[in-house]
Amino acid sequence: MLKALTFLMAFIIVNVCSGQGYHDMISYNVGMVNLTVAENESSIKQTDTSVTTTDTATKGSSSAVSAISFQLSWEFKTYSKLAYFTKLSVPLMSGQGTGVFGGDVGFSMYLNPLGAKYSYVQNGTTLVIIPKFKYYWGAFGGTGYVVYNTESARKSDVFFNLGVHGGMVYSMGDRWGFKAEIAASRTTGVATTGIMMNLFMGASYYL
Amino acid sequence: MRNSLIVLLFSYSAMAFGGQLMIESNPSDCEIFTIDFKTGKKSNLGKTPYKAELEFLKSSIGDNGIVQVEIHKPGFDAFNIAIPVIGNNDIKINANLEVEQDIKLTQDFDLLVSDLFDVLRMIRMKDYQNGMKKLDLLENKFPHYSIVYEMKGTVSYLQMNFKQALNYYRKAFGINPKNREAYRMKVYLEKKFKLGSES
Repeated sequence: MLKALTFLMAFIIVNVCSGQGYHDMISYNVGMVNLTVAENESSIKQTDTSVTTTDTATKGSSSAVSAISFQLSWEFKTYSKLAYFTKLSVPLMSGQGTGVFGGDVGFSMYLNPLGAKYSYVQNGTTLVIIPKFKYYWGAFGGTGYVVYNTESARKSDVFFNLGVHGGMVYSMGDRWGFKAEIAASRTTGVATTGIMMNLFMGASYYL
Repeated sequence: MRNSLIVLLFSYSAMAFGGQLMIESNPSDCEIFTIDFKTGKKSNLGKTPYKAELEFLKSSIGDNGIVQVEIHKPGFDAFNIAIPVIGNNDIKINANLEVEQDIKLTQDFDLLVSDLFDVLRMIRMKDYQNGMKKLDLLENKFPHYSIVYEMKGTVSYLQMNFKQALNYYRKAFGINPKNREAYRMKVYLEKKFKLGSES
């Protein structure tokens, strides 16, 4: 366990603290997650006339989960116009014990000429270029866990989701920035399907 | 009133979203020039430390995508860099200017001579160990100067380490065949140990 942790730390240090080239970015965001959940319906119709049974059908109910959530995102493998990212979101405040947990990986395509901080150091000379205002779109996929309430019960489900997102970062100083992002995704779970909308705002930090 | 408000809002957003160019240098107070790639026209921007809106740079030198910046101060080699002025980016340059080659050479000679005098003083005080340490440092910095190896040979000889002394004198003579003192000592030690010049 300790060896694995040491390896993970070493991997992050080597990959994150490169100091030159395009810089990775982490962001801490707070925002709203809204997931509309619809339970899968099933119906089995009796076609064998020799057997006398009634049709079986399971009627699904629908629900919506809204939560104020925290999202941590890490952009790695950053290039001038492209970055890959991974993000985690957990609910902070939600109604009646409901909530959405999620973990995704994806990419962001920057729409302006330079999408990440770039630095170059040689013989004591440094060149740093920071995009003042950058905006992007991208796609992501991941997995999640939802807890929702129906009229009569509290239920939960795990799901996969695929979605698109768009956002912007306004840089303030060498490292910090203000980030806003909106995302929409389609979720497909074991017992449910749904549409998830995310709206997050927070701070970004160049590593 | 409404128009002034719109103009104010637009100028504020241009300032807020517009990038800046910041140039610092070591040493400071260097002249900054921009050179047009197409025409070769050189324009003086000012002196370091310098800070200006990127929009101002675009309007004064044109929005050609890339601009060459030259930072210069007498006594130092000119520093040149091509920077992109596309989009609204903050660009920060901290240029470390190298001392001109002639001055650098003079400074190096000065260091070598003063350090060799230090070594001589240590030899007179029979402080061979520190003398050798200093010569090791000089060997790293000036690996092609035969005088350093000759002095190492002398220190080794005075420490009665004759075989090592011979190696140093051979190396000194190998680097500079005009080093007569190294040659004289090499021949003397080879005779003393009855060694051929090739062995």
